[in-house]
Amino acid sequence: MQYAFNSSRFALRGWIGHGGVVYDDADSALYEVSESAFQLLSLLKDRVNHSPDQSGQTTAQTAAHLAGLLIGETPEDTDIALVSSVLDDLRTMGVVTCRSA
Amino acid sequence: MTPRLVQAVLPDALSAALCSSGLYLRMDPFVVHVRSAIPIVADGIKRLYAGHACWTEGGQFADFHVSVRRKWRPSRPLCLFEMDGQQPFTPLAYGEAYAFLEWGLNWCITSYCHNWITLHAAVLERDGRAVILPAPPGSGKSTLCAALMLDGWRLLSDEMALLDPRTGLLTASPRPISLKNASIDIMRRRAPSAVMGPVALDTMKGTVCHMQVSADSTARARELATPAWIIFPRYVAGAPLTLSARAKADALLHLHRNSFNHHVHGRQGFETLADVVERCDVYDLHYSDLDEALACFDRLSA
Repeated sequence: MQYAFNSSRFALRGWIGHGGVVYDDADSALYEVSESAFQLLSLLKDRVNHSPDQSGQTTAQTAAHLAGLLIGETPEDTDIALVSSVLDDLRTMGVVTCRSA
Repeated sequence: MTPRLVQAVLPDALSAALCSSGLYLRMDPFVVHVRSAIPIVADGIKRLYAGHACWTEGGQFADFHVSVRRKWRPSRPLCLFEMDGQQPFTPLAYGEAYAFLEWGLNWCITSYCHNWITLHAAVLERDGRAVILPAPPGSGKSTLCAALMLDGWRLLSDEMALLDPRTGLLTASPRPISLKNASIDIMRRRAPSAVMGPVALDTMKGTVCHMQVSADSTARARELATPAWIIFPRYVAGAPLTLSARAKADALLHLHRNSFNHHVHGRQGFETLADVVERCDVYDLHYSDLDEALACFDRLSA
């Protein structure tokens, strides 16, 4: 499963310790995102150019991979579940796109 | 045609111009063509725009053509604000005519001047660095703004920040400060020589009186300023002064919500606003004592 930040429609800004926001070109709306969602989105935005393709992985594997990158160590099941849940929410909003192999 | 200062025009000539072909009044960065036969409008302009350039002859370029005129009603006299013949507001009480002119001009700028990102916030500057004060009505923004101006800060605006979407710099539009209710007497006591305009009673905002902008602010109206601080002030009776860092994401959301025209500027406007927030120190300020608040601003700008 390959997740990517939908930069053609959304813009992301944030500051470590100060939270983040997502801007939607469609209606000029601005949404606050949690610190963890901001870090996850930054990762997805950044890894488009810097990370190997995970399109051969399952959703759970991708979530585990991203959780590991976020926390810098082997993630526990709760970490993976949290990342998976945030990814689902962001995908529903259209902020991230998802492509399977 | 050479402009003259409002104070150099004979009062009768000024009133006559307002009643007939109109007065072209420079309110940087705009020129406004004003017509009104209502005496308190003339009185307010004479007092509050004394140091502004004006033309009493026709044929000038004007950004806005406005008038405040009496609406005849047998029971209660009212007044109307017009811009290019449109009446964007319902009539107000006759005694609110001067305040109506100022409020109407605010509306003209926020509705039509989309070369800037307009934010509902006061802006002042010292030593080239500007502080943006976004705050809802009743937060003490105008009182603080007036006190800062009297303390030597240059006023860019009491009401709206004009942010260039390309450069992130602030354009000044220094116009009289709108004081309400208790803050009118507070400012009269602090600055007995400050020039005040007509008092409008029983408005939607209570009693309203405008205060003249400092000569320095008027003289330097064409100087741009760089945002350095975003401070969300809040007057809390009896509270000790506190200045605490505010999350930048929250500040950006607040500024975006308080922008009159962010939808016009789209993503570039968002990026500019985010850059401003990134560069600025962002705080919440709670205060009850104006002198303590001024000292706090002194420390920040030192």
